[in-house]
Amino acid sequence: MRRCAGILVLAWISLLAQNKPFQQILKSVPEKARLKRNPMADDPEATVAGQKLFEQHCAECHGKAAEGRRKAPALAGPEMQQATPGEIFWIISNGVVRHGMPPWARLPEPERWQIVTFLRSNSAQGPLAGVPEEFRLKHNPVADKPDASADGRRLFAQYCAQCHGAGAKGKGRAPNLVTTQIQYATPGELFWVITNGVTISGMPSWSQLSETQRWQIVAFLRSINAR
Amino acid sequence: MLQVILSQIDFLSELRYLFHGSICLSRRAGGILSIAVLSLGLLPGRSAAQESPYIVTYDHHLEEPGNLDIEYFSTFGTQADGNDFHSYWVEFEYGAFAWWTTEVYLDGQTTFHDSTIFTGFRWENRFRPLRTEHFINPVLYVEYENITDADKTLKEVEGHDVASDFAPPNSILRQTHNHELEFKLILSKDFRGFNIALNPLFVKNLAPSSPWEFGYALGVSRFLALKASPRHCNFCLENFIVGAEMYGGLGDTQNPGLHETSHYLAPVAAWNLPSGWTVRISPGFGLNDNSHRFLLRWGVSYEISGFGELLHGLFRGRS
Repeated sequence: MRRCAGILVLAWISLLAQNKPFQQILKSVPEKARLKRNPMADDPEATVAGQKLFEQHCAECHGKAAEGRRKAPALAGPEMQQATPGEIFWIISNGVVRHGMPPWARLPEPERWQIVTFLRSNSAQGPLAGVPEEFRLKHNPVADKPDASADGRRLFAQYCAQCHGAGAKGKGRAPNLVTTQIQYATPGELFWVITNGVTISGMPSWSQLSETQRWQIVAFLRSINAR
Repeated sequence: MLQVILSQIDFLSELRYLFHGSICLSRRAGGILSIAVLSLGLLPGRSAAQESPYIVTYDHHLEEPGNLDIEYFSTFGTQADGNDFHSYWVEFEYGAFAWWTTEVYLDGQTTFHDSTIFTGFRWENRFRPLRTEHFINPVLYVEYENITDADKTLKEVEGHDVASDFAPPNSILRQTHNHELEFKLILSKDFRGFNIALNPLFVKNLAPSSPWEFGYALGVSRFLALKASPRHCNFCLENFIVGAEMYGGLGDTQNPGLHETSHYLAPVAAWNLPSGWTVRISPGFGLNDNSHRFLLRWGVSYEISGFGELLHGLFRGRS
């Protein structure tokens, strides 16, 4: 009986310690906090100071570039860009105590806003930041086709795996494509990046592939990042 | 100063005798403990600490989960009708969860012209019952103490604790062992860079006839700068927190109130370095005739991030 109780307590504790999806956490932010304006948004030094604070207090769990680690989710993805400054500020201040993130109200308010400024600017960078709105909302026309993902896998192995690795986990300069950032990217965003490439990081445009082939690769990427 | 350093060396040898000889650490175990303590500073993971400047008062902020904070504190105290003393403790503070912090303390003291002794250990736990920040934030505190009457750390002042309790020689004081349970309700609030904290304190000596004892600690502190500078710097104002704390006893169930109690007022300051080190200093002043006239307290601490993961990896055979 005592052993059973012990197991139940351990199970409860391990459940509490699991990561909670970011979108779900955002839902718990009160409406009043959601609408708060960032008083540091126009401060040119806030991003740099926020990055310094992020590296000092947050990077150990979220990764230096907010890319996410086993303990804590990525904060560099589009979900961060979609969150309001007030929502991010509220989460920093209150933490997600039951899921392992401590409240950071111990930092003065202006410092917490500096972190918000950094996170917003950090998530706006990267290839997904430049995707035009009309592409962002495009649906994948092959998404419902049963073979789309398998065809995409073959195309990925042929054209992409050389840089991104066979399992899409990243290799050398090419990033990991099994991340929260890709998980939350819309199909249209992924299609746009494949079509246009990312000149600055050396990824070529794959517009020579047919539209269907590019959508098939998108379907494959979505399947390996399924939520 | 030399006396203070020598007292530390005496303390390490004294650490081998826990509980007045009833349980002894072997010489080998003592060596391992010393090496472990020294090598902790060499671990790779570190995190910029944001420690409060208080030495007695607690605020509602717990240790970050998985982080280990190793702290050392010293107290030099004057003693009327007796020898001045230098007490110290080593503290291992671990963030088990975002809502639970657990700590172990090892206490010792040197009474000048007398001796250096190990005075006991304490195991402390703090629990955060509420999920989010509120107007006032409560934290529940439970501590088990196994210390002798020779413990002079003054980590808390309770009941009818008075300065003259420390006057007898160590050989007499160390004969009385106390097993105590201590409860605190930590109430704390952050407001515009200020922190205000109040800790009512309730202590029960586990000896059957002992009454409940009461005490309090009150603290106010503030960051010297509220905005972080974009530069990486050790001496930026944002790294400094200053304030004051006041603490004392409030009698016991048999004789509650301020009669025969001692009280202290102490300015406090903390310097949080980006490298993970924190330095604290606090000169304290006795507020009545029952108090030690002067206490000089200082401490250093170092926060190791990811300590829990490191241990987890070791037990799983991976680094």
